[in-house]
Amino acid sequence: MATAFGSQFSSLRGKRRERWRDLSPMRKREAKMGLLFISPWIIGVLLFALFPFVASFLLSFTKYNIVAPPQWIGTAHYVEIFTDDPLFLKSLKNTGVYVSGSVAIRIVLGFALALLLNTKVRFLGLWRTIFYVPSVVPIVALSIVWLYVLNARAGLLNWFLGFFGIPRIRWFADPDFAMIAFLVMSTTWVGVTMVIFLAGLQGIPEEYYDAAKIDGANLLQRLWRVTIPLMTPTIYLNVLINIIGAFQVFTQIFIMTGGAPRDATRTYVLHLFDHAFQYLPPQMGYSSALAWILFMIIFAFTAVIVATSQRWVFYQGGEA
Amino acid sequence: MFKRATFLLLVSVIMLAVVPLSMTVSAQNPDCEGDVTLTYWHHWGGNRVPLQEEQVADFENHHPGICVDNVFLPWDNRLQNLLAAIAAGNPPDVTMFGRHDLPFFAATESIIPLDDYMAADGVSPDIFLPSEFAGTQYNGKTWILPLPGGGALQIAWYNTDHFAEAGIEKFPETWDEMLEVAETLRIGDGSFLERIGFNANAVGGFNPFATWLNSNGQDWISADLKTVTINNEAGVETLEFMQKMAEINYGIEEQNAFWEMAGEFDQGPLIQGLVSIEVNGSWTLFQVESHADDLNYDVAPIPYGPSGSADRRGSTHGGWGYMIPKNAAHPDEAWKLVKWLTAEIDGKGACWFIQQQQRPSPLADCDGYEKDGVSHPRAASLLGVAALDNVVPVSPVQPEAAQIMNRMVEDVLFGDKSIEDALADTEAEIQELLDAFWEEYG
Repeated sequence: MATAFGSQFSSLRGKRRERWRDLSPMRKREAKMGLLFISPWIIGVLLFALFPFVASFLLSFTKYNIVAPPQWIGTAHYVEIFTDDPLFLKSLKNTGVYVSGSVAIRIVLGFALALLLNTKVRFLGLWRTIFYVPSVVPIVALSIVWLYVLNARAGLLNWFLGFFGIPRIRWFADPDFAMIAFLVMSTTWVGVTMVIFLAGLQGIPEEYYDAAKIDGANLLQRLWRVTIPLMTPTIYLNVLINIIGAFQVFTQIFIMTGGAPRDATRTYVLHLFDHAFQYLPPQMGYSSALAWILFMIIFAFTAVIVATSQRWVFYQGGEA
Repeated sequence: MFKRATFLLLVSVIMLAVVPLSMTVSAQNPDCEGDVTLTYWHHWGGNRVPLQEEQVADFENHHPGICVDNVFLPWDNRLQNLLAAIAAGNPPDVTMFGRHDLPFFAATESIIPLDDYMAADGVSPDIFLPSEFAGTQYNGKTWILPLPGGGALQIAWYNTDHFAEAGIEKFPETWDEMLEVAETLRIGDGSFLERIGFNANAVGGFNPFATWLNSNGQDWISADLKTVTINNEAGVETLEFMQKMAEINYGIEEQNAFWEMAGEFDQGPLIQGLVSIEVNGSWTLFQVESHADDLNYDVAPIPYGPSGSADRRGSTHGGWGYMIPKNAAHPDEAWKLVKWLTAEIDGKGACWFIQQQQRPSPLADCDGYEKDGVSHPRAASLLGVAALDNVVPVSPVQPEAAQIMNRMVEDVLFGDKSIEDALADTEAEIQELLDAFWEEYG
């Protein structure tokens, strides 16, 4: 088996060498220049993505306090995470709530906004800018603004809800509402989803709508029978992007609650961060193990979505 | 075992990851000319920034040939910045440092002992107040020197107008009196607060539970730092006190919700008039005088619990200091800066810096409350309060232990656990951390 693989590999290398020999001097120079131009990206990926990726995997099997070389301890961290870390499950559950809530909000709201802004309303550019701008504001500044908006005593949201007779909500002090507060805050980034949906909507040919109208389809039927099926590739992309992003929620929670109250907002990455950078001695190996478990979870979700996409994603031209 | 090159590369990557998390402000005097440039990290934000710049400039004047890159870093990110820098072999020459972080750094010899420098320059431990010097040593060596006013003295600051309006003539001495006074001072409609009398779960300078346990006559950890000592009668009384105080404030949720809008430091609740009594550090004097000079206030020792005594009130749990990391590029010059920042009476050295802020000085020969030749009118009462502070041992697993104790308080105040169960579980959890630490580093 090994010999067969070895001979196949040698033969492949031989063919590549032959192909390289057959190239004209100009093509060879072009190839070298191409590699030279792409080298910063290759070096960047190797150094800042691939190396940390592999290193964190190795570190997850070590005890590592940063100031001394790591000590190999095998799978002890993984065993501890699954058997002796109550905050692992708690933070995973909180993250799950955030992922399901925020992804649903961003997809539904982003799609609805894109539909509205794909019509011929006045000041279209202005509306698109207004909805998109919050997503490019630095998250630290956003967090401070949201702390005021969601302030229990003098916050804008409680004031607004008061008009509907809704009593004052202690957003960040009540464990039942703290994560909901972050879901409300997640609407800030709906502009990104909206822009991707808008691009998708503008790619749908008008002829389909014309044909549907001739067939007597009303607005809702056109949305359900034409728009949504043709938008499934964009929905698919947005769902993937948002799920991967939402699993890694950290900064706003670190700034605004630090996981309180009662660990109701302690998300997975916050838990990981605490072990790496907040506790003494630092537990970098343990954090790496937590990071790899998160990677596997995100990978599994992504794989399921990709695998099931053939059933619900439709591409123009008939290919699924 | 990783090879050193791989190890350094790994640490460099960690540093790169950490950089975006930290907001740094670096200031270097363009007129300074010298062969050596020291990198100095500190966390003196707000109205202390210009004081730091002035102090560093005067150091450069007194030490020709040495320049200082004066870098302000947020306190919250201090550990990840420092750990990564030390490990990468590129640490600052001098950094501000939490004394409660000392055991780990000293045990791993990530910082340089200062005893030889002190002996060579005649800097005796006796020039510092014993309570301030207490948290600077580990395993018989001195690793840091106390920064001016670093001791986390705990003082009760109270609004005398609120007291007068409520007809309260005397600041409470005991917890029972404190509960009564806090209820009298509280303003609210039964569900929502308009003003808080006192919040026992928000105290400056130390962990709230450990603060009250201390004023109830009990250390939370043994003197040898090996045994947690919270599961006892004093611990039960402490949690009962915190629970009663939260009930006065309409429960933990309303107490926290009110506090979250009360602000911090320059915009703190005492300055805004949202709280009548606040337990905070000695730095509050500078904050109040800078931002609320019309506030009528006074100071008092924090009240003591049923198992405590009148001569043991607040806690000094270590405070802060300056140290020189291992692999500092210029350790000899760095020592000169440490000495300037901590022990220098003349010029704009340690004594000057503390006097600008009107804080208690750790230097025996420096009156921190003296400014322009006149002592602050509150100096005597502040020093009187400080004299009742107890030095609490510093734990080697302080950050995680503090988080676990905060979780215990929440468990009780939210009604998730009985006081007895919460104390027992918490003691066991922290003890496990301590045992693991000593097994590895002891």
